[in-house]
This record gives sequence, structure tokens and C-alpha cells, in this order.
Amino acid sequence: MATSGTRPRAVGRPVKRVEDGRLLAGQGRFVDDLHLPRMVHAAFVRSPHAHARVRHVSVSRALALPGVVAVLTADEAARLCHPWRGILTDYVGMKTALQYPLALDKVRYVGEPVVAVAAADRYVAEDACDLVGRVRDAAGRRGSRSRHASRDAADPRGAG
Amino acid sequence: MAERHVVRLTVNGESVERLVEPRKTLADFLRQDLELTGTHLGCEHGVCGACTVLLDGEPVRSCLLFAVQADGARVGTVEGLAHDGLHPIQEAFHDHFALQCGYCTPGMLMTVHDLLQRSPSPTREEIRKALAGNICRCTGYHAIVDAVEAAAARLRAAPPREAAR
Repeated sequence: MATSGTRPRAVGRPVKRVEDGRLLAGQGRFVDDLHLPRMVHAAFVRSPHAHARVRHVSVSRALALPGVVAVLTADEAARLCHPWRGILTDYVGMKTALQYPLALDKVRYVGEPVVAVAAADRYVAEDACDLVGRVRDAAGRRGSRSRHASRDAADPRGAG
Repeated sequence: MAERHVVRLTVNGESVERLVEPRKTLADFLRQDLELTGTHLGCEHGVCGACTVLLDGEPVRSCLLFAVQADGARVGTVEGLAHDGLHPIQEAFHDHFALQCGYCTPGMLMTVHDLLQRSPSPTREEIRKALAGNICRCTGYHAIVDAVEAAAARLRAAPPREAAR
């Protein structure tokens, strides 16, 4: 608060930002710039499908890759936290299906994470994602059109 | 692990030589091997422009190039833009509030640097076109265009000694 007799200097005019110097010089510190002890890098196997069933995720080859620290599957992730629903207060009653950190049984949008990998660096983590076993059974819509709508045997991450 | 290759290049005027995997991007090479973290990665597929650097004077997406492709080249990053203090483009960004979070800013600065080298008196339309490949999620585009106009005027009046190229 301004004391009586003085006018606040910052009101009614633009105030120069104190953080600009470092940001403009490329000296900002963002999360991706941090190096912490024992830090590892994550990558995700993601769904190429808008709607498909996930079956037979096999992670043994990914785990065996040198530099891989951990591979987290949807089952394991689901045991670590409770599922949640997304809601919008503007649309009373509208809510999402139960959501999990990694897609459990079914993927519901393109890019939904299915498996998470942690490794010594990002390149190795991505390599390990490539080694996660194929999902054979990608299902489509229900009903009579399901045969036509179902996808060919596919990978949760693309290529398929 | 793939066989590593020697790369020799000039970064902000300094000669560097490193052993790198052929698949390592120029952006990761700059950020990890040289610890020049001013170059930022946004989309990692050439859309957002945050990783823009100068390669032999031309603006390029460092996420779409491998470090081995820059062998023998001159690379300029945001860290090399100013010789002493801030470059007039950086000063203009500060004066016109042309940044908020600052993540897209290094790429913006390198793109603007290239624009003003080629075109010292761009129109606002030309500035917008030049910046079309640099995405700002804080959506400060008006202020950025203002800053580029001001920077152009300053550079016409008093060109700085160039550092980065």
C-alpha cells in the first residue's frame, strides 16, 4: 500500500518485467533444463486408435534393454492410484468414463498412454517403447458394423 | 548403441568437437552435449519453432536435424545473439512486453534476427508471415510484432556488432 502523500508507481502504467533479461538471453531455467541426481527420462507407448481394446501387452524385451530402469503397465499404474472422472460444471451430468493413468483394457483417444518407460536417457526410453509387445486385438465399434470398423492387428503406438 | 561419429562445428563463434550418436538431434546436441539450454524443444517435429537456430546463417529447426548433419557448419543460438548485454532485438522484446513465459522466445529471436538481416524494414504483414512458424502459447503476437517493428527501427539507426551467425 502506498503511504499517504506518495503515489503508487506501478499503478496505471506498464511495469518492466524483472525476469526478461535471463529469458531473452537463453538463461531461463525450465523443467527440461534441470539435471537432478539419479534422474531418468520417461517415454510412453501411445494408442494410434481412437477406440480399441488393449490386450497382451508384453514388456519383457523392453525391460531387458540396457539403460531401462522401469516399465510401468496399466495394471501396475492402476494399483497405485484411484481412477477419476472428468466433469464439466457447465454441463451438469456430463462426465467421462473412469480414467486411469495408463489405458486399462481400452484406449479411448489417439495418443492415450498405454505403457510408460523410464530409462537412462530419452533415446533409450523411446527404443524400449519400440520393444513393447504388440497388441493383437484392436476392437472397433459394437454392433453389426464392428467387423468393418475393427482395425487390423495393431500396435498401441503406431506402425500398425 | 550405435557407433558414434566425430562432429566438428562452430557454435556461436567457438569451435567444438564431440563424439555423438548419428541419431542425436542437433537440438539435443546443443542442449545436452554443449549445455546450451537456451534452445528449447516444444513439439519435437518441426511445427512450433521453439528450437530455431541459425545454420550457416539460415534459420533451421534444430529438432529436425541430426548433429552429424551440422558437421562443418556454423551454428548460432540465442546464447550467441548478443555480444555485450542484450541485442537490440532482445531489448525491443523487453521494452514491448513481447514475452510472457519465455519458452518460445529464443526461437522467435532467431527467426526475427534472420528476418531483419534479409529485410531491414518489414511491414507488419511481413513480420507476421515471417513469424508464422513460431508458435507462442501465451499468445503475445501483437506485442511481438510491435517489438519486431521497434527492433527494425533500432537496427536501421545503429547496427550492432554481430556475434551469432
